[in-house]
Amino acid sequence: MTDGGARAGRRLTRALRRGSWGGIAIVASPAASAHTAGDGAGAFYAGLGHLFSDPAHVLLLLAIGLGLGLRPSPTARFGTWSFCLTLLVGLGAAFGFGLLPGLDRLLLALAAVTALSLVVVGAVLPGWAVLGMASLSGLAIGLDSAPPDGPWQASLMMLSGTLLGALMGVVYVVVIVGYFQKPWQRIGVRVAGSWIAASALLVLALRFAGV
Amino acid sequence: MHNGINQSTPTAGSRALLRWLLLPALMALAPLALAHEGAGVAGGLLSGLLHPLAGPDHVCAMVAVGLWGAFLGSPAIWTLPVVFPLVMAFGGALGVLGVHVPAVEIGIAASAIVLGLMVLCAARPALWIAAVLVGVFAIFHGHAHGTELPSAANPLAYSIGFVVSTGLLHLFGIAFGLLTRWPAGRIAVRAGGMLIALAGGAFLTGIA
Repeated sequence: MTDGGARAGRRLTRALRRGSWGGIAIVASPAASAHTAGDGAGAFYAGLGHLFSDPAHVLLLLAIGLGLGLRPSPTARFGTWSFCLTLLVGLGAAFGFGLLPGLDRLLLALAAVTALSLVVVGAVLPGWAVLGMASLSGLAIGLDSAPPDGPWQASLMMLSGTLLGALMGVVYVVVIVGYFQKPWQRIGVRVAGSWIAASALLVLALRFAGV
Repeated sequence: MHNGINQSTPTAGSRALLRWLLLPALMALAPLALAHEGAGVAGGLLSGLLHPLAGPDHVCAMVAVGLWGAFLGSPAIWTLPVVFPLVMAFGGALGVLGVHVPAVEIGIAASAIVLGLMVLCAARPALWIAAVLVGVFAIFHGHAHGTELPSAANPLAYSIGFVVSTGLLHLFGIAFGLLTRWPAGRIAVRAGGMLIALAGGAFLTGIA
C-alpha cells in the first residue's frame, strides 16, 4: 500500500474515532417506543428502526458496505462519501415529495447486482462503476425512507434516524471488512456477498408474487 | 489473493478503534430490541434457518457441495458455495412465482447421489463443469424451498434464514473436507461421500 493510501487510512480511522463520540452523544438520549412517529427521540428511533426492519434496506446496506470494504482505501473512502451525499439528497427528496411507489423492488435488484458485482466478482470493476453503485444505493435508500404524514419536526427526526442508521451501517461494515486481509477472510466476505445476492433475489421474487 | 486491496494490517490501536465503533452501534440499536416483539421477523428467520436442517436430503446435498469443494481445492472451495446459493435463489424464485420444474424431489435425491459419488470417486473435473453440475442441482433445491416460501409466517425473514442455513451447511462440509490434508482424512472424506450417495439412493427409492 502506498504512503498516500496509509495516510488516507489513518485519517479515516481518526475521523471515525471522533465520529463515534458524536454517535454516542446522539444515541444516549432516552428512547421512546420505536413505533410512535411522535416528537423527538421517538421519531428518531422510528426512523432508525424502520431502516433496519426493512429487508431491502438491510441487504443493500450490507452489499454496498461489503463491496466498498473490499476496495482500496481511496475508493472505499470516496465511495462512502458518495453514498452519504446521495443519501442526503434522497432523504431530502423523500421529505419534500413523499414516498415513491415500487422503490423497494429497485432496492432489492440493486442489492443483488451490487452484491454480485462488487462482492462476488470482486476487483474487476473500475472505480467509477463502484462510485456509481454507491451513489445509486444512497439515493435509493434515501428516496425509499419517506416519513409518514405528520408534523414536520417529527418527520425530520425520523429522517435523521434513518440517516444515522444508514451511515453507521455502511461505515462500520466498510471499516470492519477493510481489516480483513487474510485470503480466507476475503473469501468469507465473497461468500457472504453471494448470500446477500441470493436473499435479495428471493425477496424480490416474493414482492413480484405479491407476498 | 490480495487483489490490490488495502495492505494495512490491524494493530492494537485499530482493534481499540473497532471497540469504539461497536459501542455507539450497540447503544443505538439496543432500544430497538425492546420496541419490536420477536415473533414475526425472528420467528420467520428461525423457521428459515431450521428448514434445510429438517430435510435430510437437503442436508446431505449441502454438505456434499462443501465436501466436494474442499476436495477440489482452491478456487472451487469457495466458488461452489458461492454458485449454489445464487442458483438456488433463482430456483427459489421460480418456485415462488409458480413456475413448474419437473421431478424436483427426484432431482434433490439425485443431487445427493451424484455429489456423493463425485467425492467418493475423487472426481476432479474442470471448475466450470463442477459449477454447472452444482448449479443444476441447486435449481431443484431452490424450487423446493421456494414453493413453501409464500406460506411461511414471515416469508422475507424465512428466505434469508434458509439461505444462511444453506451456506452454513456448506461451511460444515468444507470443514469436514479440509481433513483431506491427511491420508486418513482423505479416506474419511471419501467415506463420507459414499454415505451421502447411499443416503441419496435411499431417498430416491423411498427407503428413507
